[in-house]
Amino acid sequence: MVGLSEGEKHFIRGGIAQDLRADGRTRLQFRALTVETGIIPQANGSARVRMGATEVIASVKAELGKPTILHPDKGKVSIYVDCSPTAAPMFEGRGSEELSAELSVALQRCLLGGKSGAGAAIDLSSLIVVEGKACWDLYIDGLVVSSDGNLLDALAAAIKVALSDTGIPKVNVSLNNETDGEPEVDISDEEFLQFDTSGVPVIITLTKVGKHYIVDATSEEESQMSSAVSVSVNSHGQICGLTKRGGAGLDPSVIFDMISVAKNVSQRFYTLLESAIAAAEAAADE
Amino acid sequence: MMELLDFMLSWCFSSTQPKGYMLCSTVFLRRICTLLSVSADDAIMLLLLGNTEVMQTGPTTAASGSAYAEFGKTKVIVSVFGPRESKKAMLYSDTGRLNCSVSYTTFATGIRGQGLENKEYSGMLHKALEGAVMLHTFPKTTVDVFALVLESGGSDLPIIISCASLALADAGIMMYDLVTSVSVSCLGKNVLIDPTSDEEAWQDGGLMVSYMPARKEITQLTLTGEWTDGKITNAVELCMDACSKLCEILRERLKDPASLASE
Repeated sequence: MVGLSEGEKHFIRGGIAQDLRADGRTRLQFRALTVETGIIPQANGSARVRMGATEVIASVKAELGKPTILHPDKGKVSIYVDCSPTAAPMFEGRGSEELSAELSVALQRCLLGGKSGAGAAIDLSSLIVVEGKACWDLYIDGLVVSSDGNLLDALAAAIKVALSDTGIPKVNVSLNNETDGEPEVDISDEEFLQFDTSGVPVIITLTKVGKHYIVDATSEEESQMSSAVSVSVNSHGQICGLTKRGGAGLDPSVIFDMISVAKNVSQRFYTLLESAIAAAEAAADE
Repeated sequence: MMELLDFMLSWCFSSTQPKGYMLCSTVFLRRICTLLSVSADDAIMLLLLGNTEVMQTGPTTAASGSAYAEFGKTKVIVSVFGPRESKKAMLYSDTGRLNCSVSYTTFATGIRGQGLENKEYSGMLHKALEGAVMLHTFPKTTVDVFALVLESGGSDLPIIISCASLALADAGIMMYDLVTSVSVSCLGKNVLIDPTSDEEAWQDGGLMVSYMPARKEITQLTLTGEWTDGKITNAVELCMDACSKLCEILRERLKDPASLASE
């Protein structure tokens, strides 16, 4: 919880109404974004994303598993978010449970697509090793290290970068009858396959304060919101997920307007993210 | 035409069918919708909102207010307690608290205990209702909303939300408006309203709207899968229209609670 005086609240709301926020940004401007990849050697892919004072880490681990009976031709992806007590004292113990669950569900909704697999960020059939016998299970874990608002967008960006950093080990499969038709899987530790991450969307959260909406809100600004709409947009400009937060009801026309604004903003966020990734790669080469 | 559709849909999703038929019945369902093309939305809306719904107030006596809803196979019971003293030692608050909890019976789903997976429903029910309840009318106290899904047959959450707002009204909790909620599933080119669990299991995308018809405000909106702009607009409008119709039904029930079970 952010404790703000009446004067501070008035200052934040007034600034947003005049398109000049407390930190000098306009309403639709993001904070400085920095990205690092490959920060967790134990994982198959990982990334750290900083947006202002918000810092999140995403890691992707791949394990061999068995596909489900209902979908024998598909692998599995699970997404889980944890909020560290280092970010805020209220996250200690069970205090983070509610927020973690909310973020996890929102990310699952935006990245995993419909039940049939349409609109999913990751093509699940690309994770299959032997149909009905073996597949890759991807465990995507997000960690909130430092929290200053806009966690969902930061987590989605971190997951997108971590997935592009992910290498799935190449496997050689040999089927023989002696082991009851169970395939023998030989995991290579030298050759890795890269993912096609072009379909992974970004999430743009528009936070409504007063009559206006802003992107990339800080936690002070979030404390003044009436409601927020998170829209996930893929690189083709298609909407693949949407969640609303905050209690106040919204007029339908406002929601449609927010969706189209989020679509426009997402294209700018894509370029911002790409330049941050390029900067990270340049720094790693030095 | 409607009778034919009704028959075909019930055949498609009759519980006696072995699991293996599920995929082909989905293909079959898509065909039905293609046959009906444009009118599919309206036809199915009429079919599902008109025929199979039961809503009534007051199934439990201990609660301040309660409601029971049955939409096809989905059966939900919601009890509202309070406003009463907050149980947990909490700080002073000059607004009331709304505490929502959704649970499933162990026999609600095909596989025993599967309903426990829907942990996020409690939070989503809270988000859908908090904008409608006048929390400032009961300071320092808590209103508890307990929802129990007796049988899960698809569109669980929207039915829980609608039923909970009926129970809140029955308990005499002040609200700005009744909240009704409707979800749609997207299968191929078609949009199906009030999907069953089989339809949900094969959907390409889903969308749920919670709406306050008199205030014309959306309190909660969630969307999964890949959608184009035009389709979202159409689906949201379809949901809002259905929400308004559902709200009229709820109002009827509140006015005349005695005449309901017979319908």
